[in-house]
Amino acid sequence: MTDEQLVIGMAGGDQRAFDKLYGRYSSALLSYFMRMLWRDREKSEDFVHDFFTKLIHRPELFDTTRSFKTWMYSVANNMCKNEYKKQEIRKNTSNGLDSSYAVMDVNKNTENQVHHTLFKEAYNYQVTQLEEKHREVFEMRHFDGLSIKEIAQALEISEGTIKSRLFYATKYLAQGLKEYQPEHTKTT
Amino acid sequence: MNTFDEIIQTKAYNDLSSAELEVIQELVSSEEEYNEMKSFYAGIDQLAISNIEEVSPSVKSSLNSVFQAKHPGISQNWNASAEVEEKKLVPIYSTTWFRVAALLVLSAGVITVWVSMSENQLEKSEKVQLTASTDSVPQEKLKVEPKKKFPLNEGNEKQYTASSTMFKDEALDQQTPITSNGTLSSTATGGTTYQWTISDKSLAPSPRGTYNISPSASSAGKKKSEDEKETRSVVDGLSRAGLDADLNPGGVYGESTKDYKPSISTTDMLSLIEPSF
Repeated sequence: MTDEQLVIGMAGGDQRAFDKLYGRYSSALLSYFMRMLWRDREKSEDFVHDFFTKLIHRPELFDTTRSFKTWMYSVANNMCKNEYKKQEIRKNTSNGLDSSYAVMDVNKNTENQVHHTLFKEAYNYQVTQLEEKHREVFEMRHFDGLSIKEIAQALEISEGTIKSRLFYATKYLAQGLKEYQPEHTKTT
Repeated sequence: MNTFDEIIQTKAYNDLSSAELEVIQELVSSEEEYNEMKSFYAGIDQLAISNIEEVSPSVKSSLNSVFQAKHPGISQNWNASAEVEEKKLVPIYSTTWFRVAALLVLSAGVITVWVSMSENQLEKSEKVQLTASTDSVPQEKLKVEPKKKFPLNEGNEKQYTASSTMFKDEALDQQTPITSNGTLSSTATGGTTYQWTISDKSLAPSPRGTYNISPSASSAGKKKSEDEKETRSVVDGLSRAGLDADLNPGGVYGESTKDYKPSISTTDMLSLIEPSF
């Protein structure tokens, strides 16, 4: 069944449809919120809960002619923006890192794991240096797996703008992480 | 066309087309930079995989309660359906009533076949008996059946009367007038008078003086035709007998009657002629 059919079923009271929809997107949504909300897990889970609660109570908000995936990211993005407005101190509160990043597993001594960990840390640092508009496009593209078109629909921006932002973010991050690329992923 | 990140992630630098090189040239200017970018994307992919988060079960249970609150009736049904014991599906051929019905049908069929077979057997034996009896019956019948006498008035609707008065030999020259109504009369002075009446009009005399009995137009059946045949032979015999009596009373056959063969024997013919005293 498609996502859209599941939403229709869920709106009719079909809990199996709801369970299936939740299984498909809850993790992706949590990952998205984690990235967008300074890796605050508790807040991210609250956001996931809020999103699905809204969907249960007002399923008519979803236009079935649209893609559920892009609509979901669009709603999630708006939720994050609202949160940014509430906080207004986003960069000062979390620094883009949560405890999971702070605690590095030093016991993993394999070279690849070290490289990966270093790369991860470097990325988390570099990404905070990016503007929000560049970051969200880059992460939606590479972490959520959305296409240029889907990102454009979710953020309600033209595809050209998305390409431009993506290009800028990629160039910036690649330059910043040049020294931290894992050994095994180098030139094939 | 693929975007620059898709090209870098999927293709080697040497495999790039001119169009693809044009797309990526703003980002990378050499093969070395291209490969560095490739490594960067590989690192990002690994990072994305490691960043996948699992939602804690408490979120789902909380959402379930929200859903049940929103759809109370339906959720009750959902729970109820899990508790209801499903009726065990039994194949139709395993049901008692089906077995009983099948047994009845089977026994009815067997009985029918058995009855028809026994009937056939009985019929065959009857045929055999009948064949055996048919072989012997005609001889017996021939033996038993009495010789039929000339049927004059017995069981015959047609009334045949014959009267004959035999006189002297002077009647020999007399011609026998044949009436059209089927009455043959021969009257001669002092001669033989031979007279009979045929009530059946269909028996018409032929111009030669013999009787050709045409088949009855109103014949209704086999029996009637048989009767007519019989009648014809009788009449023929009678006419011949009458003619013989008139034309050759002494029994001396002339040329004109040489080929004549009476259908009735002389003794029979004599028995038919009743002298008119």
